[in-house]
Amino acid sequence: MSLACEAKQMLEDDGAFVDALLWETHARLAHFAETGEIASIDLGGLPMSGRDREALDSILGRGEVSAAVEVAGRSEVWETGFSSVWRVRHFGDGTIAADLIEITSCPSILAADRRDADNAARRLAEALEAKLGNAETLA
Amino acid sequence: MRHDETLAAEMQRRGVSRRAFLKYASYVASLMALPPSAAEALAEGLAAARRQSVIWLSFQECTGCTESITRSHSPTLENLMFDFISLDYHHTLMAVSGQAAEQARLEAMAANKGKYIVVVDGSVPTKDGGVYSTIAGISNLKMLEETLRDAFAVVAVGSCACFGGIPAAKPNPTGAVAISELAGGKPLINISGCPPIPEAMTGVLSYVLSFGKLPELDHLGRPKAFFGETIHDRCYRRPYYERGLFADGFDDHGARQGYCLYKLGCKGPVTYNACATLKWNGGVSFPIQSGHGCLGCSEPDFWDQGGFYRPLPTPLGAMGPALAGAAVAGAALGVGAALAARSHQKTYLAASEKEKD
Amino acid sequence: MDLLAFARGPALTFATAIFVAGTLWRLVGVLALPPWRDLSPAREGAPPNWLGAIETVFRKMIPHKTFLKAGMFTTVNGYVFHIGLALCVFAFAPHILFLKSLFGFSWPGLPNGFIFGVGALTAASLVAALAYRLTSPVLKLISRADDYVSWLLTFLPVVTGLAAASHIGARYEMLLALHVLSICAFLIWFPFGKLMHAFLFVFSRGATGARFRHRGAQL
Repeated sequence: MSLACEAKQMLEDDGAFVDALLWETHARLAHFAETGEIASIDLGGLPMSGRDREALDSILGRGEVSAAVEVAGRSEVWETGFSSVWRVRHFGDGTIAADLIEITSCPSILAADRRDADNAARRLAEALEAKLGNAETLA
Repeated sequence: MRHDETLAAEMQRRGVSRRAFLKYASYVASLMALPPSAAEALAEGLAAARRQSVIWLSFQECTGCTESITRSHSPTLENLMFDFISLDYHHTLMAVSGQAAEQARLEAMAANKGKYIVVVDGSVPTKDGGVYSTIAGISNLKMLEETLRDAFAVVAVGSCACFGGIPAAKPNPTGAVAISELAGGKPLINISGCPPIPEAMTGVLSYVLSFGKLPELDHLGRPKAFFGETIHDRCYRRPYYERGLFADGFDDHGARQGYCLYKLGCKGPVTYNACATLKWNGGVSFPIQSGHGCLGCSEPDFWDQGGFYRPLPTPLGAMGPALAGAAVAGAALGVGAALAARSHQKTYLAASEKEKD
Repeated sequence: MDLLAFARGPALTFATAIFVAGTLWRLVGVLALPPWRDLSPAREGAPPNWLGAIETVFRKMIPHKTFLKAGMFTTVNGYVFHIGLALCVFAFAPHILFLKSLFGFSWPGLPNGFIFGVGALTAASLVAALAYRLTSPVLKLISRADDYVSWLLTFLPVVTGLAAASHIGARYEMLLALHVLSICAFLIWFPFGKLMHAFLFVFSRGATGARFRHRGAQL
């Protein structure tokens, strides 16, 4: 790994890449503020080093919301220090499977889907009925 | 093995919310470099899809492709892929064997007529009526033809299925051919590599499943998302190439410094694959990072490109004898021409002497 | 067989064989002619023939002062693309690997970025040479098909090489194949056209030098 790091060093010395990414984020954020159009930037395919990622996250910082989602592995979601700019990081078996900057009011992975609600309502009813049943048996 | 329930309903029954589709979709979108906005459509497509019947045929192959797909790097996400498909036939992985296995294939074909996907690893021998590889007494040639008849699409996995691979390498004793030559116009995706990158296989299957169509392919039928760039283009050692810093041996100063392996025969510049970005074994490394040049395994005829250690700019084949012959012939012609000129000069001089006299 | 395999394999072998045979044919054909015998006594102070020949080979690298001004463009431009070509051919790492595979020895190369710049300058210089040839009335009059073919076959490897290095126009392996094929065309044409001057200029200048210096002419 050390060899790889050393070679990356050559690419890494200027922080221009992270700057470009931040400017893009800025442009999308301004556009979102104006029109409400959401956007996301996929960091997966970009030739980013660990240091680039750190630099990006240290500038974006942490905001008011942090959440963990447990579905098919872990996902971490947090709002950055800039309102409406979110970081969404999906893990699969400990390694990063997808890494995104999302510009939106709330990342869709956090929101519950209404189509799941139907099933949830049924399950809740079942749970309540079971509880009632238990109470009756006890009585 | 028909599946009438949508994947969303199936997952819901198991207490998994639609978030799973969203997460899986952003993973696949990221893998395939789809615009992140496509993730939502991908998730919707997957959720609404039925379990995809897949019939996996293994012909002249080494099972490396199966090893690869069953060892992909994010098991939790990967398990999802196996929840989305119904692997109705795979003679290495399935529990049943013999007649029961073949029965499973025929039943899946009948139940999902026109809808099932055939995945093939391995090439098909065509010489002598295809006797060189048979399964349950059926030649590969016949089994492929029979299984493809009612398939929706065929995915050739691995360089043997895509281009003939090692079985088709010179002198190709079994007359092995690629699946593309036998697909008979069925929609075909080639996912080459020896073996292919597991994420490429699952990514493509997910794409087909949720959008119901093939992803964008290159001129060799490979998905551009994974085969759109060369290893060299995305290689972390590329800056050394540009600076002219090369390893001259596998244990010299340059090798220890991690310099470019171009001089040691790396085929990265002409090899289209995603090893340099997705890497192998859960993103741990890829051949070049481990100190060996790219073999070019995802390209046609990679076995017959003059040797893995022959640098790319060197001529293929031995030029020595041809050049020696040419040198002798050229010199002989030259001597002949000079002798002719001399004799011409002599007669000319003699003639002019005579004239003087 | 794909185009690159064809180019690197049979095409390159065939072209190189033609190049070797043709070049030797012409060189041996010239050198095996009866030696020049001038029975006249040398002019006083004239150098021996061999020295006169060598002197002239170098002396002619700069035009005579009478023509210096008039020939300034062709001289400078000529130097630019000749040196440029030499650098591109002999100082680019992949080319050195090719030459090493033929001759068995190698030498250090220069960084790709530098060679790319030199290549671009060479291409521009070759275009300028053609433009000059097409606009100068005298040069245009004495130009034959050979001149244009030789120019084109020198120009093509340079532009295809630049395209391959910068991945412009097509996929890399296609550009590389075209580059190798353009060199094949260059090699095949080389012995039979004016490109042969690369070898013959030494002998023609030497022969001129020996004859003229023998007679006491200053060159």
